[in-house]
Amino acid sequence: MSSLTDSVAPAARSAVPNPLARIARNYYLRRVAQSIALMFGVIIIVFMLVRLTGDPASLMVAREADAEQIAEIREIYGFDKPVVEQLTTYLGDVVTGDLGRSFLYRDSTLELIVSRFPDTLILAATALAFALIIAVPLGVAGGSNPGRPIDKLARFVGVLGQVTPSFWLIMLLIVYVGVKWGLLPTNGVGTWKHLVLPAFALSVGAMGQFVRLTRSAVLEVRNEDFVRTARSKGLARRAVARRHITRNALLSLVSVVGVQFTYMLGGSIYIESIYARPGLGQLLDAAVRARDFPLVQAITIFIAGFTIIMNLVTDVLYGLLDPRIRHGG
Amino acid sequence: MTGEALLTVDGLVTKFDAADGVVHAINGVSFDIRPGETLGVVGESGSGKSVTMMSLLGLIPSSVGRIAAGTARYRATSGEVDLLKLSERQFGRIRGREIGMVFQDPISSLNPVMTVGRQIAESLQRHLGLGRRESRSRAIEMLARVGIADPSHRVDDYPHEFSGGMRQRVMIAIALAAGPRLMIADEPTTALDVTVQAQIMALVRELQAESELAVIWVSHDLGVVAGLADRVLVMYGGTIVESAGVDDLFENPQHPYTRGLLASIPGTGLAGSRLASIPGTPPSLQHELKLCPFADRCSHAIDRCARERPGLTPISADHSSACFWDIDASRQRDGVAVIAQREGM
Ligand SMILES: Nc1ncnc2c1ncn2[C@@H]1O[C@H](COP(=O)(O)OP(=O)(O)OP(=O)(O)O)[C@@H](O)[C@H]1O
Ligand code: SF4
Ligand SMILES: [Mg+2]
Repeated sequence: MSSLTDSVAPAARSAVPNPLARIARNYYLRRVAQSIALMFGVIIIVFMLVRLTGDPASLMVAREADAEQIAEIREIYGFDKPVVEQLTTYLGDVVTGDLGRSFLYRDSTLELIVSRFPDTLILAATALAFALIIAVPLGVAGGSNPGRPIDKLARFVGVLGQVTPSFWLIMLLIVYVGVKWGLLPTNGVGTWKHLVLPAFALSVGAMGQFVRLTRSAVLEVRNEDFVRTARSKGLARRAVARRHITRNALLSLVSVVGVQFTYMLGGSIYIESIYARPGLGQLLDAAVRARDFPLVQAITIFIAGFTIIMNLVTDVLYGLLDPRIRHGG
Repeated sequence: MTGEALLTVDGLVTKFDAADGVVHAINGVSFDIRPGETLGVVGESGSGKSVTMMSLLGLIPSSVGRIAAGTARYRATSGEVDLLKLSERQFGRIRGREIGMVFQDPISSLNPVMTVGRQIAESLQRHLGLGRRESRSRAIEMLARVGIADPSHRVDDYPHEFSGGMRQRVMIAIALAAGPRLMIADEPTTALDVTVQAQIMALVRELQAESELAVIWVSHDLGVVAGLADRVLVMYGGTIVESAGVDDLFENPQHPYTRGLLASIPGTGLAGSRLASIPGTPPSLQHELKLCPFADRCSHAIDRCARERPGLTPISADHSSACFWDIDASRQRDGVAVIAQREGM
């Protein structure tokens, strides 16, 4: 994409109102176009993977199924047609929002996903919020006071978050907070209380990473020349810290937050199983166990699509926060 | 340029606590500057130009360095203050308001994610108590004053949207926004090409003509200093080795180091000439300075130069040098103060 902009001569840029060139020049349009292309790529790859691993029909049925049953499935899902025709049909279906029918639930896979996803989204979003609310202030405070007790705490949390095995933490939380002290429910959904334990368990790794990243970014930005300029203007220490140091330091967090959020969606698969939360993770777990091929495929595409959208959101946010990116610098 | 000094620095000593011991960066620097005057400061890399200026504005982080001695009396609007004794809080009323600073690298010295207008407005809001709208229109005025075309649009642009020279104009606008009476510019044109450099120098001269702005202009470039300064300080090893009016300095240099500098300039004028090419290396700053810092490299050195340290001593009106030797007369100079000497000698 960037080579396209580079190759257009400056004069031609302003003279020719070529819509393609305009898309290529506008950072946001460019990212949207890239995301759409990527989404199609993912769908095609998932589609091919299913066909490459052999006859999908035989994978979808139980081991003891006979040839007749397999043939029936083949026909239902159109596996007997030429691959190119299957692909175009499939792409057409996906574009119109039809991700296929679940074998297990005898229902539209998209509807199943849509009914389960909010729960997972809330879990991951809560986990992300936990991580950010604790990590950012701690990282900023630590980085602003290197060597002080608050910095030692920040470093400790940073390492702890990284090395704590989540299965161990989950058991610890269930045993103590849930069972022994009876403070919070350990399974199911319903109230915000049900969310606390699983979200916390899911947040710990990201929290550690965010603390470390924020702290080191603040330490780095503190020594930038523009911070010296801000001080030489006579700004109060707090104004320098807030407007010049923290703002620039948090820029480096944006892309990582996006990545961590999609990791958390993945992590919710086992967290949901442990805490008996009927989210997307649990649906996927059930689909895999039941060899519900269309459902597995639909969830894969859905998560891939969500990840691509998250990346897009991250990049747009980046562009909003950092003018150098927005202007294609 | 007459009258009382705006700033009088006396005996500034700044030290750093490095991993391998103390660095004696500034070893007793004294000078003054009057309102409206332009003071050029030259000296090779590491001679202490930047540390001197940072010390005056309290910008040496206490975690790495400290001011060990000296006074810097500044005649602020609200009364006289000693810059070397101010708290961080008190500096808040001096920096930007009384003394503006411009740094060498205009790209890294500007906040990349804040519009230039806001970076100027910050100073206005802080010092003049202006609101958002007022400070914005004042920022536009400032941009116009430093010669940015189309300022009412450019005010919302970010630093990376400006060229190098334009960025340095923006830096000057920031430094002067709240109307300080002294501007310290630390190699403001070193990163710029010659034409742009000339434009920035012309701009500063214009700004000085409009007000009684005093300027301390730090430079590697003797040509720049010759074209801009009223008086020049020559720094070496964290000391001032010579101080004189600009014409006097170039026509009648007294210190061997200054002579070496001027001799190293090719005959064709001064413009663009960098300090260089005196044989030898700069002095080690690991020890307290108890001899002439130039003794190792000086072709006129006599015995006492390695035992005693000469103080900056007046030779004629407004011309001082820190050297025991009178080159023109080929004999020791009378009345040169000895400000330190090595023990046991
Ligand atoms: N943070 C620091 N820690 C230790 N020594 C330092 C520190 N900052 C500066 N110095 C030392 O102080 C001395 C003076 O440095 P300074 O930056 O003032 O030189 P300068 O004259 O501005 O040089 P240049 O022309 O390269 O900018 C140098 O020897 C330098 O090594
Ligand atoms: S004091 Fe001695 S060593 Fe120093 S500059 Fe003068 S003659 Fe040279
Ligand atoms: Mg310097």
